[in-house]
Amino acid sequence: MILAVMYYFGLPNVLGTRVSRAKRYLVRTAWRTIITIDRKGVRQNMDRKKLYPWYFTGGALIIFFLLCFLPGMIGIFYSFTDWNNFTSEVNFVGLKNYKEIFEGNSEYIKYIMNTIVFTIVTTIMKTVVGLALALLLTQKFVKFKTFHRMVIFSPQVMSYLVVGLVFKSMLHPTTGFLNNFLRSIGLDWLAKNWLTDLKLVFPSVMTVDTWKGMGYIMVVIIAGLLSISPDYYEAASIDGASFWQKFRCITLPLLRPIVINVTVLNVTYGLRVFDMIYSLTNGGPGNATGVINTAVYKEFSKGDFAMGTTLSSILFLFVLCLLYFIIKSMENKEVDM
Amino acid sequence: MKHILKKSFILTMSLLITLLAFTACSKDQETSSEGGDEKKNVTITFGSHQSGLPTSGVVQELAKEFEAETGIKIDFQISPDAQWRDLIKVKLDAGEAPDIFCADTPINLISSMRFEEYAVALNDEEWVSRIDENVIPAISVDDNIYGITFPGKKMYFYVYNKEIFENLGLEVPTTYEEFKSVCQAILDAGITPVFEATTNGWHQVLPLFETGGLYLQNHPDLYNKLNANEMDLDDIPELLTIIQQLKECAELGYFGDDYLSNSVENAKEAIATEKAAMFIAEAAWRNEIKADYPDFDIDKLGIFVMPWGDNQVIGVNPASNAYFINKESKYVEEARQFFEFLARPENLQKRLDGQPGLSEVCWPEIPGRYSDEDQAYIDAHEKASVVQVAVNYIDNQWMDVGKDLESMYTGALTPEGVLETIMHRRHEQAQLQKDPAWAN
Amino acid sequence: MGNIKRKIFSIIGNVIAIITSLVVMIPLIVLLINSFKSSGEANSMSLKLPEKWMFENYLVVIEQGKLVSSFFNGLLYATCSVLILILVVSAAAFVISRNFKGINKFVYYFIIAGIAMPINNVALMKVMQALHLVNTRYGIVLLYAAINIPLSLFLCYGFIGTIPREIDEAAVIDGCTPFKLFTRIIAPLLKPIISTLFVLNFMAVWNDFTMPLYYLNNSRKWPMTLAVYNFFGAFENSWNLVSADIILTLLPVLIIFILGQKYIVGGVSAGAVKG
Repeated sequence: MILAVMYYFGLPNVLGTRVSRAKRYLVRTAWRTIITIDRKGVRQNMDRKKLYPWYFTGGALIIFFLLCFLPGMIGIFYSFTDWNNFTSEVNFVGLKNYKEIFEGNSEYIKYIMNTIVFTIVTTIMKTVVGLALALLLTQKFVKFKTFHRMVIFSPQVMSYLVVGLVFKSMLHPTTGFLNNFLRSIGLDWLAKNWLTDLKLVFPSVMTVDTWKGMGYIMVVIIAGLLSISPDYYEAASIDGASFWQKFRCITLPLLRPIVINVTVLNVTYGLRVFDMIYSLTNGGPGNATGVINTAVYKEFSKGDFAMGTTLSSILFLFVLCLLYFIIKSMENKEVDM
Repeated sequence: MKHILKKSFILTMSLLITLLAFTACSKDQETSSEGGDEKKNVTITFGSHQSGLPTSGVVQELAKEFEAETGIKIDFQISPDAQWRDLIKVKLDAGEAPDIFCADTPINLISSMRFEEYAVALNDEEWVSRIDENVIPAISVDDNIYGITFPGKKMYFYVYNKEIFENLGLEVPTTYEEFKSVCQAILDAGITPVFEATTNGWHQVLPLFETGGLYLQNHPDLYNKLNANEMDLDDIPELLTIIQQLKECAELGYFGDDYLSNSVENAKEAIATEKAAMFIAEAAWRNEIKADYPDFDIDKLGIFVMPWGDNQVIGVNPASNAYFINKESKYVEEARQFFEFLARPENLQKRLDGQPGLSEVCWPEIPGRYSDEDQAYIDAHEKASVVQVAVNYIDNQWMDVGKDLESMYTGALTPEGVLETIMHRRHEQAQLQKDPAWAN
Repeated sequence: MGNIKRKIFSIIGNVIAIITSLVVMIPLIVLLINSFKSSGEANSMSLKLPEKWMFENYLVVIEQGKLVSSFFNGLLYATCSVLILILVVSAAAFVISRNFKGINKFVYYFIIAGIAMPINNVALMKVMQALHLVNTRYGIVLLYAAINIPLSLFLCYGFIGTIPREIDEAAVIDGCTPFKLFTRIIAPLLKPIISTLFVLNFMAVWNDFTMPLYYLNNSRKWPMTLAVYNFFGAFENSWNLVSADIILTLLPVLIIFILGQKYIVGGVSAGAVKG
């Protein structure tokens, strides 16, 4: 028990002062425990099953099972059929739909590649920009920190529909705000066809997505940064550490769990992106910015329900594998510590 | 700390209570109004996509008059165009569709949805005999009429600025070569020759299939052969020619610089401010300009047939969208009543008046709005059905073709590639629908 | 020397912060300005000030857009579903994290796999019908809670792992029942993750418009975001009205955000400093 208390005091104070309340409570109760143990001479063996009753998971489990898992599974089942909008009979066709995707139409492969590129790029951009902004907006010398934080977070509250509408008009090559602005400061050569040039459209979409998403990442990281005890930095300063050294040796390692969570958020969002692309370019020009979910949508509106569910099932497997690796790697690291 | 916890707890609780009170309230309101419904009025739901209802809101106004007369409320649920086709399919399939729903109707209704399973047959209605018989196929399956429709037949032209043409000494083009030289002259004068807009997805496709008359001239019985899978689209060299011509015009700058970013809604401004000289639209579209830009003299605008591939035949499209009554609805009688109301001559007239962009309604008793000059021009030309109303699996890939053309303009697809993709999708759809003509 | 360096840093930092904020704000400012223009002027969305300030745009929007009732609908769906979500998720995460073996382990992975689960509207419609949840307010609330459970559980599970178990043991020795342990001891410690979950899910629900489109058959029950969509349908050519509508939709969320931002942005730190 004393060992446990010692361990706890030695634990890096990730949660900062917030835990101090818990800590005080712990210290108080721990002493009492030790006294109790001493008195009784036997350590009370707590029954985990009693202390953590299974029915606490019941609510989440039931809601999830009925409204998420069940329909999802029925959907995946349909990917093995020829289900469509034009007949009411549904026949089992095995893996035919899957074969079709990976053999015949190269369009699907392109959508899958687009989705992957989108996910990787936006995840990195959001994390890097979010981290940089979080670092900047926790510095003492920056004025109106809360105001800046609020402004940068605000796009998060806009719906994708609105973001799409606004940016479509702002990025219009002749009447749009961006090009007019660039021309007015003499940078005519920079005024481009942001959403119609094949080379530019995907970067534009990803930038807009970063614009919308970086605020949230920033806020989460700020929360993490603020919970790091200033003691570490003070100690490091006394040792003469530079800003970068402090960043590398204190900030980054302590932020790791947060960064992992953020990455899971970003990756699962990126792989399943639909609203952003749909409202900004509708997958265009042509099919240049099509992703898996826009393709799913297209198959559904064509009436080919089976092909739509096949595509989304592939996405499901893909995300599942990725999740597995992320979670496994996290668990391993935990054991290492 | 404890303080804050307590405070936040109280805050959440009070919020919750207000919310609960609110839900209770709103539920009360609902039940009370629904309770009242049973006595004198019911609410029927009317689901539509954006383009299913005139933007002027005239149908909503008529619904209010209907409510005043009968006490039956109409609840309009307008969904985005892009969502609607998918949404209505899911809802119909589940029996959760609105009481009245609007759907696009290509000429043979049977190819788009299983209407005979979803909609109430309306054969015995009084108004059936008054509707233009040319549109009957668009609202019926196997001699049963399922829907009511209002917009008249659509004819697309190049609406052009006569003044610009006169000032530059230009004549209305009748061949593609003439069209090109007209465009060049206008471009040289610093005006965008043609306003084109691809972001809506449908507008750029018009030259391909509205020119059906041209194809029919050279290939008799073309439409039937296409439907019987005896011919394919690549057997019509004119179609490929038109696609190539579109690409050529785009590359020569005749569509301006921004056609890939423009939307159809911007066309009014471009024409009214004389930034552009031509635009593909219906004749009555000019009235819409008048509504938004009262200072602009719309008599300056004339019409001519799209000269793509040297076409000189006016494409006529009788199909549009129609309203249907859901078979599962509890209020079939009330919905029928609403249809009767809409079909009254005075309300048909109101509808035409309230929709400046509409040239005519498909009810012969109401005179159309074509000017004498237009009427003379239309009468002087041959007319033919457009491709998408007569040939299967064209209309339901209309927006996809729009995207293909976009790809072509950006250089990701060749004209031949566009044609091939269109053909490929037709086969796919035919097989999906188990079309007997594609059986082997 | 160090002083000058610090000053330069401070100026650069401030300038970067201001520029970033400006870049982020521009679309919002453009919207705001356009919401006061006439229809013709608003056709080209620009930063030019309107020739005549048309405040009546907002009146038109409020009248035509059914904004008041749809605002409360949206608020109701977002708040209720998030509260349910937080309740079930934190309870589940607590038990699973503390006793991570056997059935609990299975339940955890089972639910987490749901992060990847695609939504199939046709199948979902059938299930909702079978459960008599279609076209009801509580149906949509439960649905929103359900689809957000997996990711929230994942985040919450990770967080509870950082709370030392010794606290539980001490509490039990003090005589806490499991229920008391969770509500009195653990729940207060979860405030940071709960505020994160609240913001994340509230925004997601608020901004969604597809679920009500499919599962609510009555436009009186539609939330604000969908009301905006309904509005676009009728006024697609009037950018000024659309802008005003967007501003009005954003406003409540922004206000909630400003009021709650001490808890949201400051989040973790705000309560802790005083603790």
